[in-house]
Amino acid sequence: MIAVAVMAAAGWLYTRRLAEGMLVGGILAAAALAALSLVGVSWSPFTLAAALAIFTLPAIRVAAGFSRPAKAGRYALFHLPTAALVAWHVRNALRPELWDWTNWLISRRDFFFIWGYKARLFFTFHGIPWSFLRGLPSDFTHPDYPLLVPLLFDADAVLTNAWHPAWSIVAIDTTLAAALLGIVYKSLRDDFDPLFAAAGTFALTGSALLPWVGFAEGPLVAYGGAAALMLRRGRVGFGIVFLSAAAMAKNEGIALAVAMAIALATTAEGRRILPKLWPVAVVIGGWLAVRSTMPTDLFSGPVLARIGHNLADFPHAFATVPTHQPVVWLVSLIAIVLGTRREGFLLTAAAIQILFYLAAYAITPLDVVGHVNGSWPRLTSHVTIFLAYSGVTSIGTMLKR
Amino acid sequence: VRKGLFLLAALVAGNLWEALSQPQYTPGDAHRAGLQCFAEQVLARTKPGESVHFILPVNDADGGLINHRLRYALPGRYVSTNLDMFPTHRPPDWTATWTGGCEGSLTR
Repeated sequence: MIAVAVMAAAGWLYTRRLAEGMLVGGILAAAALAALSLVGVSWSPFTLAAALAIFTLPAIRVAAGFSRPAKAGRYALFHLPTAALVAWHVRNALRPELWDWTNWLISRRDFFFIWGYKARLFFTFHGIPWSFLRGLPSDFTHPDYPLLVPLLFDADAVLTNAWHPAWSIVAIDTTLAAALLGIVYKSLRDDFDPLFAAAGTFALTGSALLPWVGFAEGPLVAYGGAAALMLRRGRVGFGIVFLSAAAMAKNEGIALAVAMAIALATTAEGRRILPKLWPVAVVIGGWLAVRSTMPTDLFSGPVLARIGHNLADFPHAFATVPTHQPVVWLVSLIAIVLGTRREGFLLTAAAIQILFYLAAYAITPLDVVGHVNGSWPRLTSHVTIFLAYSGVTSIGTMLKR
Repeated sequence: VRKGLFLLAALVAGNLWEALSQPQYTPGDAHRAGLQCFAEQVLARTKPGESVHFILPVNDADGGLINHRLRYALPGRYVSTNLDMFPTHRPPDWTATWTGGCEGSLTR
């Protein structure tokens, strides 16, 4: 809880806006922990506070470059249903069964095997134990995954000197999702009246507030979705920062950055923005250089030989597994098909990302049926916000006529 | 307009229905709580960077992934068990044999 307040304050100094500020603050906290680790300073409440203070010093100059805050409060009542669903999400995410080690839920493995495990590991070492990470097996721990999420999860533990994952992770996860919803509302307000923008935001709550709390999905969708909406609005600075964070949240975030780059390259306006995204490429390149010493499994063994075998299993693998929010997908697709408005950038990026996932399934060294059934709803949640946002703008355009 | 209103209502209803339908979970397992208690003892008696090989009953394999479960309970220790799906070849510094409840032995 403390970490959320610290992140929001640090980010607000840069942005003077709550939603963007929370997302920026999360990056600052994770970057501060990573920097301390790189220079060999042990994590403590004092060292993290000092590093964050240093990281926010440039805000004195930078903040002047951002636009003034929007007027708040006038349409606050419109957001009550969204606030109620956020509260409902928190209630569900805090259920003790989800955080109980003795439960051995298959659906919670990624928290105990990867994201929560790494966060607790780093907290134990008061820094990132690179040599220990290199010694971990790649089967389910995935030491090669980017580290933004465990660092985010560690911020509260470091500041309070205690490992209490449920409250701190739910707070961070929910606040990042709420920040994305704030950006969704602002983006919808560019084109629609406050009531429709609020209704559209409410319809997108499930695309941002994901059921996999403690996984990387929440931060990935928050940063990836925010990056896409910022690039769509021509806010390239925020787009760069958020897309870099999405790429550092999960390997799928790196794929998402590539998908967005390809989507931008398909239009003249996008091609003008594309070269400005070079910092994202630098961040990804830097991480790939660090990662080259870590074990990875996707490209291990005879990749080409697996493709034919895995593709043959696709019909069986996808026969019964739904996407994330299947009703929202279905209604959004219908609205897009029936509507006159097309969110070309969002839909192209989402389609390319889905193609990447299908390609990953085609070369997976794991049993493809099990792999699809264990991950398809989560993977489709990465782009549900793209599709659902497109559906909402199509509906909004119908209502304007 | 009517088409738009219908689609908006469907989108809101779909989102709401999916948000409200939550899976039910069973409460924690007392037998595994014993293993968690034993793991906490092992954690207290070992140092970060050391490797621990657990000897466990066959019923507690968790599909061969019990080593990952224990890794979370023992952060900073290299954990392997006699039930691993993917056995590691790191020579253990310690062997921890769990005998049920919070009981067991830890030997070099």
